[in-house]
Amino acid sequence: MTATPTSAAPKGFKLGSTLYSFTNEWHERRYGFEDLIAEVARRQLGPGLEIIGFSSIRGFPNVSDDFAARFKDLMAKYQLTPSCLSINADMAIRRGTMMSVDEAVAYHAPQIEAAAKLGFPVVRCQFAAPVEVIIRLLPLLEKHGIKIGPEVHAPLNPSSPPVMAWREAYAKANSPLLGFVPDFGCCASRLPATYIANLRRQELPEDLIQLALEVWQLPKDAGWKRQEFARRVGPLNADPADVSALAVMFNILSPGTAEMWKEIMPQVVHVHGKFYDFDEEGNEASIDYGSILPVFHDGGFTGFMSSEWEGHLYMRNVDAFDMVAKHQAQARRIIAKHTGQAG
Amino acid sequence: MARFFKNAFSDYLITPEDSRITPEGLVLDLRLPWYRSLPLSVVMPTQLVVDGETLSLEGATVEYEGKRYTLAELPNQVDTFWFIQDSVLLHVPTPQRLGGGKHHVLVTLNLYPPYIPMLTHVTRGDAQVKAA
Repeated sequence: MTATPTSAAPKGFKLGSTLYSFTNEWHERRYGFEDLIAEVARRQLGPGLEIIGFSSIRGFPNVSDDFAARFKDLMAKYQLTPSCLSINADMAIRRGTMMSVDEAVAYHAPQIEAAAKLGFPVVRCQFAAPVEVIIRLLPLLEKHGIKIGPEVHAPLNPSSPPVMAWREAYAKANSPLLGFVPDFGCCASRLPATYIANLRRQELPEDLIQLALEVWQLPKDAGWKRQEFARRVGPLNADPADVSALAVMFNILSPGTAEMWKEIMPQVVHVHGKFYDFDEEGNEASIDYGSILPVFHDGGFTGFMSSEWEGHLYMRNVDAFDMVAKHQAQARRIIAKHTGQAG
Repeated sequence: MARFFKNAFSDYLITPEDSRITPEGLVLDLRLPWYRSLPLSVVMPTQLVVDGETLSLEGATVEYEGKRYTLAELPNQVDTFWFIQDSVLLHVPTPQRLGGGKHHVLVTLNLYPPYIPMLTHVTRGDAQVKAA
């Protein structure tokens, strides 16, 4: 049995990378856009390729004919498949005011046009815009045959109030193009040990760290956790900068279960396989992929899971390409085991 | 220098070799401390400390793509996106000429990511910058 990485890919859904994983390589200007794509291909971290328009493309959402042609050439040359274009709902682009629905529709439309021009079949949008904006864009999505979904990201989960509002609006609109993009950071079991170690290395007071970790475990949303954390640290006279640095943990990962995704499984249009770090066996340290991936496989999800490494939030000098390779290796192991057992 | 919390971008906020100190003031090369391009409307330098002394940002300007904006003008720049692989130059006039040699410079830059209303992302970074 010789199994090349691609042939051993999970049967149900497909693997890929988001260039977000390579934030440090890109930010440090060590790689250009084409270098990143070439390296993803060389390390066999496709076949799916997701990009964030406002990260990768200068002048986005304007995409020149030359850029689009070059991008398509690169996809063909490296045998990669555009999986998802992540777009942004910059509702508070004017500080202190929010865009109207009309303005938000006008802000999203060229981003969807960019996805069409570049050949992306799916667009990731954001809950910052009300669902009405996306419903208004349905004719444009239908024109191009593009699916769309807001990212269900920590601290949300499929039954959080904002997600429920979208599910209700979707039920009325009844279009197969309307979906969701789960991010596995909201079904975490714990925070990564290396994340906590970084807080200690930065000499944040231990009593503050302990309080934050206690609050993180509570089954509440991030807003509540921030307030509760502020309330509990109140008597400690903590530096507000330290409190704010610790409160980040409530928004990057939140506790949740694999089963919670079943509620929206038929509407999943793309997945962010969020990950931070691995244990010695090569298993993700904070998110229980062994439980999650079988739920998506058995649930009939056949789109792409982008490996989305976010350890760059606190780890520099780590090869992000190696991290993505580990993540995909774990995914293959889990699905092979799962389907083997299933017969 | 007192301890301050460093995020992943702190050590890259100031590029010392592309920054300079002139008789008129500081010209600091700053990199965007975020993973995607952001409009200048949500960018705001809020603090400058040189050799432990806080300097006023009165009269400071941010230069991008050859244009200079006062800090008061930044919130209106909703159509000018700071691309992630570009630097801006923060020009800060100094009332008195800084002496020769190296100076310890600390900058605080606030971002207000427009798709995460209510979030203020604070990055502090420091570097040694040489006076001409």
